[in-house]
Amino acid sequence: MAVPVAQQRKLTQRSGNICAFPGCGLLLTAQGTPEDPVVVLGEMAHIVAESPNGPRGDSPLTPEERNRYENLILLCNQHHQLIDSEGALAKYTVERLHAMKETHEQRIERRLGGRSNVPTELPPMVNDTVYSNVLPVTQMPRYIYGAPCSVGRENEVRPAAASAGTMTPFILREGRLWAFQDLRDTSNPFVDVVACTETERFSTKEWWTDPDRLGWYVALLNRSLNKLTGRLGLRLDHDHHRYYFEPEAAGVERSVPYRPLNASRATRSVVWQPKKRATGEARNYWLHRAVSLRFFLIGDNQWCLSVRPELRVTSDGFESIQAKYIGRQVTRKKSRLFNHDLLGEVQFWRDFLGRSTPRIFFPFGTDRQNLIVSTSLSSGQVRWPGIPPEHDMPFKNVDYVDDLFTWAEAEGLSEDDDAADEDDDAEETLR
Amino acid sequence: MGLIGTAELVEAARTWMSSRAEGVRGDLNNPEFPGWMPDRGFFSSLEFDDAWNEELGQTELRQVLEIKSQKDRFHAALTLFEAKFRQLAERDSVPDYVVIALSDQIVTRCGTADYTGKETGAVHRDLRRALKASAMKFRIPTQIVRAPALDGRDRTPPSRIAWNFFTAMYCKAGGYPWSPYGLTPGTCYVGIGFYRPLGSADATMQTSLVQVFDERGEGLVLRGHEFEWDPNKTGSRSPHLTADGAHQLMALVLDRYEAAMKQTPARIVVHKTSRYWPDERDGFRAAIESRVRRYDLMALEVQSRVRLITTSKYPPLRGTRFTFGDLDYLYTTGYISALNEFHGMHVPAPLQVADHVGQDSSRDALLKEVLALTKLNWNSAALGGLLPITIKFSGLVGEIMREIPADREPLPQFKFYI
Repeated sequence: MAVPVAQQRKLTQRSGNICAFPGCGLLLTAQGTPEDPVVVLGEMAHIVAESPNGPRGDSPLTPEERNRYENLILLCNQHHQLIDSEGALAKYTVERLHAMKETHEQRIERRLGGRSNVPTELPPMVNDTVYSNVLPVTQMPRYIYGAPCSVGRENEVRPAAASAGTMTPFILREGRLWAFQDLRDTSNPFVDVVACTETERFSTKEWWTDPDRLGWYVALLNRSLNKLTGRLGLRLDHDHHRYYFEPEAAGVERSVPYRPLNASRATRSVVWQPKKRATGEARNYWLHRAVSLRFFLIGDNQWCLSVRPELRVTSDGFESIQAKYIGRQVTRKKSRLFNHDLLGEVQFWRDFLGRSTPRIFFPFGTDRQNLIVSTSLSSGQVRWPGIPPEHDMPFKNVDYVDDLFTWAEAEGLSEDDDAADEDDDAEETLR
Repeated sequence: MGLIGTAELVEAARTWMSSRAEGVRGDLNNPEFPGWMPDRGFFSSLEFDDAWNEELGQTELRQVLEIKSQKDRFHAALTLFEAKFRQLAERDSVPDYVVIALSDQIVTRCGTADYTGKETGAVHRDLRRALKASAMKFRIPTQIVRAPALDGRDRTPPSRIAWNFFTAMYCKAGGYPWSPYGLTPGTCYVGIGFYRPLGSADATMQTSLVQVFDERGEGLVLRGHEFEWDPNKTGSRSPHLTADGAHQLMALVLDRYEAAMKQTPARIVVHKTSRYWPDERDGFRAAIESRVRRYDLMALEVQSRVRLITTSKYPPLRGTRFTFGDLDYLYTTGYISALNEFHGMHVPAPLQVADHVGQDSSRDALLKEVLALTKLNWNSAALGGLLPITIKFSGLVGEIMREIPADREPLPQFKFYI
């Protein structure tokens, strides 16, 4: 009885055309003649002999089973002879040959890096909450006012001190001063330099659809950020459009309190001189926590503020260092910033900018004109194969709750754009 | 395979390759390299022949290294290598692939050159790019190996070096290491890029560059036309094409695609890193609409303004798509759950779909194609990159293209640029 073709194929394919004898590695096909270009050298050796009288032939296997793949091992001629030789039978037992075959076949599969045709089991889908480094704007000023301006340079404009705490950001474009304050009002902070009676009023939404005006609008928002950060004691790094902490005194490190991810209170270094780990010796540069903030429109009149934590490097706490000298330090620091560190940094900044309250408040004088950014991180639900729970890292302080003071501040702030506006009638005449 | 280098380095490179071809053991984070042998791994064999080697003699090398002027030294080194390429190319039988082994001395003394020319202004040259451009003249695909990789000073895990080296070799020798899965048949994927000529004198000149791929991942590099771009006048640092320029470039792409494939593409997808300005968009549209029914123009921007943050040690999954209002984002790097690992170092940044003109395919389908195209970098064995290959190679190809004079036709095959 011969070995069926299907069994032969199974054996040769799984053996990878190589002798299964340990350490042999002989290829079992060779180059032949032009008429017969491939010569087969491999031999299908029986583990339990085909006949009961043959080598290892004493077995309950049926004649049919003896010719199946399970009972065959692919060898070169030399090793076939060796395992069947009288003197070696005690050494090459049925068990040993099975093990030899299995090891060989596994090695072939591994060696060739074959792709398993058993579908890979994908991790189960799970529901997760993901956060972002983006804060939603909950209220934008409704109007922008522009009036002819008697001075041509922005640094010549000195807004009068408006009511306590009011911010007065403005830009000069095309001979006009543009601001969020009502320039028709003769007590407006720019009254010295603008012609109140020639004031134009635009709805902010109108500006957002015009690319040029949108640019102006963003400039005005950036001025507002400058005011806000300035009040919080941050400095502006013009070259990189970011805000950073400076030391309060030369050579003195600085840290500020904040509410971290999982505890009620902690302090965080914001200006420091790194030390060499081995010797404790101070390095020749200073690091400053910094942040890049940008307002952007995400469609449907919805604005957001993105918070991108950064680092500034100086030689002594004040003098910036040229990029080519510090690139490596910053890159190295950045390469150690992982997902959860980023969350910690964003947490720090939202807490600092919002002074641990539910919102960042830009007071422009009247309730309807204020700019308010929520300090709740934009988040979303995802369903995905997920990251194994053993890598989970806690984040407890997700929400801010109003206290009496923040509640009072927010009270009366209308976030409803459809509310009646006593000025609406005037709009037509002004435009 | 041919080898160029000092006698010592040629020998070292040969020994290194022969030993790595046997296979390289992996470790916990780096899979084993299965080898480059007829019976395993790449199922290929290394064929060396002394007749294919060009050794750099002591004297000729010293004559180059002793030159005082950085510019002259750089040129002398380039001339020396070019002579070697020529000698190789003039043989009766030419190797498929040439490995250039660079000694530390050559890298330090001739690796780069910065000089100012009367006509060119300040010029920055790089030996690697110049060598590629020079070898291209003789149609020789090359691989540069530096001494630290050969003598073990390079701390990259050995199996990773082997994977990258042999994968690139396989591709440069004319093989396809792997094929993309999930690209749409009959689609022509186009990446648009730009580069500036060598030197700072012509700061406003730009040349357009297109990279064309079919659904099997076979690609061509085509040089477009030169044009002026003044960032101060236009208010944008990234160049944009005029309607005519865009029309011409797309016509060139379609002509080449048709010549190669003997048919018109059923669909065109264009990737670009900057937005489509109205003229540019109209030019592309006019060229495409006259010949192809379906098209999508996409601008993909790597940005770090908006990120998703998980409450885990690891960042979001590669392949995560999210929207913020009208803005659409895709993470092409990130945690890979099927492998239980994250390849990158720091926090990954998603790609933003900054612009999308033409709505002939769903956004999901287009982003799936972007993901598939991030896997087509045959110059490395990495699982996937940040950018789809359509725009990934722009920078790399542009750097070499600028070394090729305007009057010399650059070769279209990718293997000469990577």
